[in-house]
Amino acid sequence: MDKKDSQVVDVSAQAMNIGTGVTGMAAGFAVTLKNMVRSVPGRNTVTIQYPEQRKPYSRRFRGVHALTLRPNGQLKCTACFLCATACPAECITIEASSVTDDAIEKVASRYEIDLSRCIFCGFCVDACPEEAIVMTREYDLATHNRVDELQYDISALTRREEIQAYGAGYRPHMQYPLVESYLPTEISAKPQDDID
Amino acid sequence: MIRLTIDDREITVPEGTMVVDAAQELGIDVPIYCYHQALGPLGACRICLVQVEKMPKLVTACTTAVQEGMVVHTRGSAVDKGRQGVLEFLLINHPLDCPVCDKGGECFLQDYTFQYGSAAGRYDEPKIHKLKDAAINEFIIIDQERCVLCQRCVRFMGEYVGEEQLLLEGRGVETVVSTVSHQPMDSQFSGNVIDLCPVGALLSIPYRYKARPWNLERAESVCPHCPVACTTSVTSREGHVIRVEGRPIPGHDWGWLCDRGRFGYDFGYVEDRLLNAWLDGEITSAAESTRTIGSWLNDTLEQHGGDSVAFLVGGQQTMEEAYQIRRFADEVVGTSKVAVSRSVKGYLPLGLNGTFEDLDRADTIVYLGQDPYDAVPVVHLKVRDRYRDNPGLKVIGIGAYDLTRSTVPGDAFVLEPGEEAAFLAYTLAKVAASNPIIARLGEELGDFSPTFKGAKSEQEVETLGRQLLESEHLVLLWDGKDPHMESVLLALRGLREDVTAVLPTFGPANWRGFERAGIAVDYDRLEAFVEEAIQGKIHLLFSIGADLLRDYPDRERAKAALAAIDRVVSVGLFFPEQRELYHAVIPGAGWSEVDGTYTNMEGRMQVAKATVQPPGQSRPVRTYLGSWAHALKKSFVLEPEWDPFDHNAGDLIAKDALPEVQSVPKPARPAMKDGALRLVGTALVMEGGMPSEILQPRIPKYPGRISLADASRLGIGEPGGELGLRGQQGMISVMVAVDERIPQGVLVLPYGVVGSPLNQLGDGAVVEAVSLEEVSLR
Repeated sequence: MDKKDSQVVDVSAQAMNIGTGVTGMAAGFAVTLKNMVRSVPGRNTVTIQYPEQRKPYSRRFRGVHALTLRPNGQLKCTACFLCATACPAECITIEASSVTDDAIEKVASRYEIDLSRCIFCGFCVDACPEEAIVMTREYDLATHNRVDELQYDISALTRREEIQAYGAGYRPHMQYPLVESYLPTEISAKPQDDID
Repeated sequence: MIRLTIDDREITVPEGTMVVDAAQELGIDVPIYCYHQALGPLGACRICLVQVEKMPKLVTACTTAVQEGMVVHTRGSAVDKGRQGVLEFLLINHPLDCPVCDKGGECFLQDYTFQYGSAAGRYDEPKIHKLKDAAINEFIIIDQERCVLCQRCVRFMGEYVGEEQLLLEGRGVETVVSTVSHQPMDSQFSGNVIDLCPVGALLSIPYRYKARPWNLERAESVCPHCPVACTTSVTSREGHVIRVEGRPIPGHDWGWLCDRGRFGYDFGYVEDRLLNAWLDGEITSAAESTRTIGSWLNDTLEQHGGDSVAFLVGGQQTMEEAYQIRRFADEVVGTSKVAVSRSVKGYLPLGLNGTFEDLDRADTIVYLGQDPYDAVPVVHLKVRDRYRDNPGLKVIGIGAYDLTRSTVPGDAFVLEPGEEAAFLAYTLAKVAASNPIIARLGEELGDFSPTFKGAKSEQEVETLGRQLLESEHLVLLWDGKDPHMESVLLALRGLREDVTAVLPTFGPANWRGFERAGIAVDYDRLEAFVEEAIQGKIHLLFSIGADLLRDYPDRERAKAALAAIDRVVSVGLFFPEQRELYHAVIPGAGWSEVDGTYTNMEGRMQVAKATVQPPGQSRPVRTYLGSWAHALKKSFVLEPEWDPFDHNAGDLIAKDALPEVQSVPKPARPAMKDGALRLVGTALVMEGGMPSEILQPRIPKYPGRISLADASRLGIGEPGGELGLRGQQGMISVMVAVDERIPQGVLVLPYGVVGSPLNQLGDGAVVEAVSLEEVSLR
């Protein structure tokens, strides 16, 4: 646009116009007042008293991962590296080793998820051909130390109380039960008011 | 030439070409499992089905030779249905355990099933279970359930290598691949079956579960262990070398490797690897060592001048590093004393140097002093390849013991140790006495006449002479031990009109490259350096990638030389032997950690890429050269890269003029007492070379080899025993095993191998051997 075509607005003249300022302010405070009236305690409250109070959320929530176990208690993961390959955040570290068990050839001797890097996309769960990794509904992950406390190894991914407390979340075939495996600790009954 | 049409495209190929190869020339991919160009057609797997017009049924492309006017369709509903059926049968008893299979991701069964197979199998019966995870030797595991019975491995070992160690066992659906008599495979070439296996049946144990193929990085490299310098592909993950594979170069090389090259890649990670700088036996920081060595260099130059500094290089580094070392010696230090640490004295003029293509065309191959199977195994495979093409190939072994093997049968002339050159000159003098040079060589030999162990008549010697003169394509493999052989080879070349190619089987691996980089490799240089060191003329030594005590033929002299030098600095991957002789030992970087060019025994330059970072404090040589120059406050520009390649000769080093024929003296025969043994040095690539934890179980406990007669006299049975050798340095014990090819009175010991006291006693020395029980009684 050519310079001479542009319209020149005199801002200082508008600022001197007291009427514009007052109506603008009044409109703003009207919204505040409306919401204040609406949110009188007991009526349409949005704020809750977390962590004592919690909101219902999806049964398919993508929270912290859990590794599933075989009926005999062994890790179901065979260290095929598909989850680590699919991971866009590159937060999964696996080391494989062989076992002498006749039925199983290869197991993960090390399986670590760096939750400080994880973006909870669930690609690892999608990639797993064996449902060896699923997500739980656990979402409150605040820690004092992100270096150590957010590095989850095999024992953290299988034997934490929270897995039981929150229950299983996202996995690709949610309409079917887990095949020949179970979550490390039995999944507790879910709250009734959860959203599907 | 035959013209045919494949997928509507015309091609002209030589008669006898298989349809699958013709298709490949057009860039059309026909799936194959059992077919391999080196092994020839078999038609076992049936996956390569194609449709040929006017033929009633589908045919296998790998067993159908091209015919004039043939019209081939490699895709189409009939072909795809045929391949789908074949795959369904191949997968009937397959465990489908791709997630745990190391091959998953680079598996032809997986790839072709994705491409041609059906989504689901229709077979409901239980699968037949076979052996899984069974080791067939120290390096290879077999999973018989995954096997598609293509027989590549069986045919490679039996037909190609000639060592029948694998076979098919059982019948029908119970057929499995197994080892002969269920004994572990012990061939030098066993690892190649891993590369050959198109499915996950034969897998590498050291690589097992280390990674999945899609998170690997591959780099083109060259094997650093022997002068053959096979082309390899180095696989690394997260900065760690975890696998080495053969890298075939179409039309030039099949990509076979020996087990040393394939599994000996872990020398960078063994416990002994130097990761820190050491000054006077104490670990120090890299900066401190650089400062100290820089001040030593400064002081030495001020007090004694440039010529008091010497460089001893090992011959394993890249050509670029050799070039930088030479430049540093020339420009920064100002010394001409740069020597290559060597075990043998011979030198081969470049003009005589042949290539591996000569082996492919040879009609006569002569081994001089060394069985190539031991020193340069893949050359043995190339000779065997030639023997398969041309069963009339004449192989002649001339050495102190029988150098031939059943895989490439030949005629062996077993001589007194160290008389190969004289014998060859003697043979030539018998058949070409009219030639003035030969006549002179004959005169110099005087009354020399060879004594053969095992009957050989004069007539056979004459036949050998005529073979040497008249063969159409003569290739000699020379061990480089006797420096006079150079003259005999030159004289032989002068007599012959047809091709005479010599391939040096001796190390160090990159010696030809060092020569190209401007470092003279002749043994006289090394000898002069040792002499000057003993006389105290050298005040500072940089030993870069070298270990004089291990390599030099006279250990005592080497020790005296090192002890006489004021300050000795070693740069290398490991501590040198007797580290107390070194004042500073700093960690170097080696193969797979530095980019560079290596020259092999053909004089062919090949580029090897760096794959990983040097571990710990170890750094490439060039880094140290730069920092030492900095300490001298001199500029040493490392950046302008030197291009070793010649614009005219390509990847081969250009040949130069041949030198004159020198004299060949009559060999002296030391007096042999009863019960004495004569030492013969040899190069063993498996036993020698860099340490490796992976190879450790395969490396024999017994580096020495003696005859059956001597063994029974000294009370040494199977698998071997300890022998006491009484030489000038007192009693030295050595572990020996029996080898039938060795004549009585000879003890073969390898160079540069721990537990082989060859350079303590001296190559060719006569030693008194006693069984150690006898010693303990005294």
